[in-house]
Amino acid sequence: MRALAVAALLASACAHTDYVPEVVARGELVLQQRRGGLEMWAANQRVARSIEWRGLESFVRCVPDAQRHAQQARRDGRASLALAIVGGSLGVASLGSLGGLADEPHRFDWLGAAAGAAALGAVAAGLSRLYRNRANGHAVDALDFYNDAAGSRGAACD
Amino acid sequence: MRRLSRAATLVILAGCGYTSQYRPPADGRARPLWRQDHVENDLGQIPITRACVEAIYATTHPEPPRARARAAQFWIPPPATPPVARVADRGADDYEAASFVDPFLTRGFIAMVLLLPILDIVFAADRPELEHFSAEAIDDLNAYNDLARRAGTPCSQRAP
Repeated sequence: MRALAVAALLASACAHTDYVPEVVARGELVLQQRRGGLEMWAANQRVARSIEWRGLESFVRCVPDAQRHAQQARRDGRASLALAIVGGSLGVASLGSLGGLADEPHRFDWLGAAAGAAALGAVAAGLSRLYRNRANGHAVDALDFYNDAAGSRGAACD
Repeated sequence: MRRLSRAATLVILAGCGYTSQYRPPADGRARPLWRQDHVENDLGQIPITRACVEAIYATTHPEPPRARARAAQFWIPPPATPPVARVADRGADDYEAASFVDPFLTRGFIAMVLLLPILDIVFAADRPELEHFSAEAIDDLNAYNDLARRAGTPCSQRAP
């Protein structure tokens, strides 16, 4: 039963879209969920993808609201990536500090350092998740504003 | 301890976040929307018929559901478990609190220190968005838009 629950969790964590839209206007952005995360496509070419959403800002530059959200998506995505690296690094450092358990006289000092690093890492990892959600949200808003003004009408910023 | 609990609260709340500032107009075209940590669609705000709903499902699930074969199985009752022998209670005189607490606290602390870094790495690497819900919502809205733009489907309309 536990194995099934773990398998279901892993399967849901790797969920992706199965349907590829066919009736799409020339410059229209289409959202897809792939194994690497959310992606945006136009004219059968990938425009941008999570986390950083590089390329989205220039693609939607002719729609001010969309460009504003795309810029924020890029900023939040970069912050998320940086915080994820910091959080993961602190987690690894914390595990390394546990090697100090062999230092009998300073065992609790090492444990305290490990706990402190792990706590900071947890905060950084949590903030990374927050910024990633914000980046994805702004990117989806950019898609919607752009499609309303240009994409779904067959126009593009190029 | 207070700092740790504040940090833990921040971590828990950090999984939540942004809700779309975009408000979809009622023009018959489905859009994706971001809610906290996953994608939703606005199909619930579009007046679509049951036939259209079924067409969306058929489009996103092209393989017909397999007919259930007649089960030739019967419910198998669980095996009877033998009665558990009672262990005689130890006397209270054998219990020594002083030698119990210290190693317990140390082990608990070590367990916490072992668990936290693993959580750090998992949270840092994991994707917070609910991918299953997002994928389903995206498939439904893309399928609906295709059906709405094609003539002769249960969802046909003059969608932009």
